[in-house]
Amino acid sequence: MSDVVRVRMTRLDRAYEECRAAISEALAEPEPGDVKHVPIGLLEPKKFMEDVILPLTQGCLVELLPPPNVLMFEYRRRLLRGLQYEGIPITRLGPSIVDSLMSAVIACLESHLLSNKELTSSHAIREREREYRRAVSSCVLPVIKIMYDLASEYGYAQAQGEMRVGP
Amino acid sequence: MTYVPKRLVREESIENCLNELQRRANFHNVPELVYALSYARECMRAILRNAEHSELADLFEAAYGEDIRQFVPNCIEERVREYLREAGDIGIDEHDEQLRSYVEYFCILGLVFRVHALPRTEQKREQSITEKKATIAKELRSNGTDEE
Repeated sequence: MSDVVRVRMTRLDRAYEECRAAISEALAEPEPGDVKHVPIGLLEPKKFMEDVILPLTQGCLVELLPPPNVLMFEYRRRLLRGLQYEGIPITRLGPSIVDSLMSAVIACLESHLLSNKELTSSHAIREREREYRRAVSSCVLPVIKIMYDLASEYGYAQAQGEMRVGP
Repeated sequence: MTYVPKRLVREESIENCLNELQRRANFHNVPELVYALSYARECMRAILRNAEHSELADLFEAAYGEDIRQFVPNCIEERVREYLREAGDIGIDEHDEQLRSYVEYFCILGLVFRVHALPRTEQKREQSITEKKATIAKELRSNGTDEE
């Protein structure tokens, strides 16, 4: 019997996995000798948001947007409800879904990171790392997952091939 | 005057409309909605045409208290407002074409349901009158027997 398992991958599966991987990589400790990757603990909260997590988030949201053949009123209703259910601070969606979600993510990150005075100390490297990861788990990952789940439900995750898992 | 709605609104057509509209109601995207709505509008046009030449409009108004010609437009306005009220601020307004088309489909389905129910309502009404007459006649007979 073969040890190889074939898993059906869709464009959205791939986009979602790539987003998750990029975010994990940004939050991870740099490999020894990797001088390009600045440890997140060395970044001020504002710098971490603007230079690291927000550009990544924006790219992910754009990838996960639905195509024009989706019934948008229904998609928007379910998206807003899903975000609110997950505790994301959002009360409305504007004409641009990405802009609305980015505003909500920024508000969420700011409430976690900018109000915490301890994180501005240059010695608080470990605290910053911990709080940055926590903030991303609360403010970014749920938003991306809700968009991915909705995309799967609406059936616009076209198959793009298969991935071989195993030796 | 005896109402005979199925004389002009052919019952088999209404039956077809109802079955097809129910079958096509499970749409998931815009092309499916557009396809389903074009059929629904055909059904509605046929019903309204029939209403012009028959007692259907009077029957409809007597049964549901609404003008058959205004049923779908009123229904759309009402249900679009209701949808947006429940959905919250989702970045679309009551003029959103997709939402209006979606709601229109179900309003037409509602119209077809009501028209489909009319002959039966009428039959029931006639049956009920016949039953009442029979009961009264029976009571009168029994009273007459008692008096004797």
